[in-house]
Order: sequence, then C-alpha cells, then structure tokens
Amino acid sequence: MATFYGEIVQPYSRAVDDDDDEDDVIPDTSCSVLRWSPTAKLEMEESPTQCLQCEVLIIAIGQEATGFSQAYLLENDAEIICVICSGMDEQDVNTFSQTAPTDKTCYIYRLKSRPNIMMCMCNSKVTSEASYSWTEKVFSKLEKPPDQQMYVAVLSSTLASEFKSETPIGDLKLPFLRSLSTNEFPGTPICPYLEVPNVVPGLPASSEYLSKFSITISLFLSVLDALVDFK
Amino acid sequence: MFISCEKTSPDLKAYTLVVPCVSVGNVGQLAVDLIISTLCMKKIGYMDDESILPLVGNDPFASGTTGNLCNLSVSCEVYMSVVHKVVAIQQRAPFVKGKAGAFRERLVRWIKDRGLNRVVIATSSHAYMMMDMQIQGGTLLRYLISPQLYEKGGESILKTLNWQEMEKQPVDPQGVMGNTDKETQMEIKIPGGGIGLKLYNDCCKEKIPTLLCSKFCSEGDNVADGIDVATYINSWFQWVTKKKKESLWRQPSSWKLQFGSNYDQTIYQ
Repeated sequence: MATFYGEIVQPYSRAVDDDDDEDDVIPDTSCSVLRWSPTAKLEMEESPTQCLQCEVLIIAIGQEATGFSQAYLLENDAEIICVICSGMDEQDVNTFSQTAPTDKTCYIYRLKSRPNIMMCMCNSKVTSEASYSWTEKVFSKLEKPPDQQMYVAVLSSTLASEFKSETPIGDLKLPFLRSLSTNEFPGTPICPYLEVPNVVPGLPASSEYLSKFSITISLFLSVLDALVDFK
Repeated sequence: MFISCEKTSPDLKAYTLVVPCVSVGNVGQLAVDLIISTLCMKKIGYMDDESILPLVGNDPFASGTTGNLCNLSVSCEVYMSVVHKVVAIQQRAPFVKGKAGAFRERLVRWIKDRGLNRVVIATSSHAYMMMDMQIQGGTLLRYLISPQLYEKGGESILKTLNWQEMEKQPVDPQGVMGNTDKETQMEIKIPGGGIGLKLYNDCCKEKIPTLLCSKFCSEGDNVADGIDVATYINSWFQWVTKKKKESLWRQPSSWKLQFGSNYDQTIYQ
C-alpha cells in the first residue's frame, strides 16, 4: 500500500489472529520469575498458608512513579524481600547489581518497622503479555492479615498525547492525576476519576483483576507532557 | 475463567450468547457495544483469562448522571438482559499472540457448562480479499448457520430474511501448493475475522446451535459497519424495534473521541 507521498506502508489491521497464526511456534516470554530473599522464604515456610502478610502494597510502575516513591515513600529502613524478573529471553544479560540495559527486574521492598507495608518498584518495562503472570505470581504469596483488609495502590504515568479529552491537549494544565478504584474503596480518591473513553493497558491494568480476591485497589495515573525513556 | 459480580452465578440456561471477535475494524465489538447499550444490559461478571491482554477503564456505558462515579471495566466482560434472554461477552483487548486457541477451548467449555441455548458470533472480514462472486453478491453481510440451529427453527426464520450465506472458496486458488486436488477443493474462509470461523467450527463440533454474522469491510471509521452487523443480528432475533424518528441503536458514551482529542481550531487559521 502506498500513501499520498509515495512511501510504502504496511497495511495496519486490528485483526490480530489471522488464520494460521495459532499454528506458529511463539516463544513464550510471558512468564515472570520471582526470587524471594532468605528472610522472606523463612517466614513463608513458618506460615501455615505459605504466604507473607501484607496490609498495604504500593506498586510503582515506570520511571516517574518509582522516582516519586523512592523520594517520598521509601524509608531508609526498607529491605528488599523479592526480585521479579519478567520477559527474559536467552540472549538477555542479567546482572546482580541491575545495571545492564537488558535487566528486566523489579524489587519488592518492605519496611522493617512495619513489615505489613510493602512497596514494589517496577522500573523496567513489563510487557502486556507478561502482566498476567506477574500479578498472579506476586499475589500468590501475599495475603491480608487476619481481621484486616489488603489495600493496593498502583502508581503509573502516561503521555498527554495518549489522553483523550474534549479539551485540546495544548489547553490541558499538565501534569495532572486521574484515578480508578474498585467498589470496595471507601470514600473518594483525592483526584478525579479517569474519564471515558480513556483506558489503561498493560501491567497497571492487570492488578485490577485482583478485585476477584476482594482486595481494595486504586490506580493513580499521572498524565505528563514528556516521559523519561526506560533503558 | 468466569468471575461473577454477585456471590452466586446467574442461571444462563435458555439464553442466547453474543460473542464478538477482534476482527477488521473491530466491527463485532462495535455491534456488541450497541446491543449492550440499547438493551440496557447489566454487567454480571468478567472473564479472567491469561489469553487476553489486560485493560482497565471507567464504565463505558455510563450515562451523564453516572459519569462522576467509578465503575471499573476490564478487557473481557459479560453482560446480561433478563427481559430479552440475552448474554453478551464484550472483549476490549486483543489476545496474547498464540493463546487465542486456548481461550476458544475454555469459552466453548464454559458455553456447554452454562447450558446456553445458542451462540451468535459477530465478526468481519477484509473487503479487499473478497472473491469475484462475493463482489457480485450485492450485500456485504454474510452468515453461517450450524445444522443444529437450522433444524431448531433457523430454517423458517431464514426463509423470511433475505440473507446471503458465506460462499465457499477454493482451498488453493492459484495452485501454489502444487496439489491439483486443492484447486478444486472448497472451504469457507474469513480472512481478518479473528477467532470467528474457528469458534464457529468448535461450536458446531460440540453441537451448540450457532449463527455467525460477518461483514466485509476495511479499517477506518467502522461505526456504520458496527450498526450494520447489529441490525443484521437484530433482524433475526427482534430484540429492538424501530420507533418513529428515533434511531434503532443507542451509541455508548465510550464511542466519543474515537479519533483522539479535540484539536485547537486556530492551527488552521
């Protein structure tokens, strides 16, 4: 197909699964691997349900959210209890110090003073395909403390150009926050709800499926004029 | 797979299930959006499945009064209308590559377990891949009917409708496979129709009464195609009837801004 200016472009189709696609062998990189620290492992073994108790979990996704969490939320006494690797393939180089460009890991921290409060720093891109496995694996080892609720806050960001609004982008006062929350969330969040027809794809969206476990979840989306490149 | 909103799952026996396919121009999904919105269907749960990419947003069918509330909506949800005896699945995100087959299997098993009465598949196909005989046909809408539905009253309904069945095509029209049999052998093809045809075949194998409705179209503004497919399905089931001076279908609030934000008009001055 050629455009008005003559260059050849591939015809775009939203029909994803054409005919024989299913028969192709597709490398499965949608699996996430979790490695728990020795202390966390020991605690899990001692627990009758093999789980860690969690009252509050903050999941920061992307450079902006992790930067904010590190600066304002993460206290000095936080310890790393888990590392999550996702989307790895055979060619990827993985370093312990997490400095290689191909490192695709994120960490779960826990406050030593209040071990029921955890924070997940996801500074690397988790693909949409890997999100389901990521969420399932993380939450398979976390449970709410007895007689209490578990609250999960997901922090994420998007570009203003991705945001659909009746106000032209140039007239929007950036940055601003939007939220989404499950029905269990008491009260109203501090910012307006995300307007239809805007949607959030990928990892931030996958945690919303946790509502099946009656976990209260809020998603806070920061709409920015420029994103820092992940690499 | 199915997670119910209520503590007990509703009984879906004797219900008709409408399933859209992620296909050319998202026509099936647009048609199902219209059906859900017009019949004021109630959300009864969602499909929790690893084969569909995650997506979350606010209520796509919110009317003006509920716009300030948060009512989460995810990538694959199930709606129900007790009055019309219809259940509709709405899929809002594509499949994870290579996992659509597994979803199909689980979906057919779910349909069987729930004892749904019949299945309607809404899909679309690439207009540029139409065969000569299909172009000459006049209408762009096609159907496929399973033997079970044909025997269960489909035959008499089809007689009243002026519908055109999906044509069979040679398996290998150009003879590139080097097998002369394949040049004469005929089969049904729905290029760009997503899981539509395979789901139809799976349902036929399981003896589920099934109807597939498809439209030949191209990517672009596919609202008219969605309306066409919804009207096509409705001409069989008669869920909605046209009132004077009113359009048959009510478009959901999520259809606004389909082509992005409004732009600053002064850039063209």
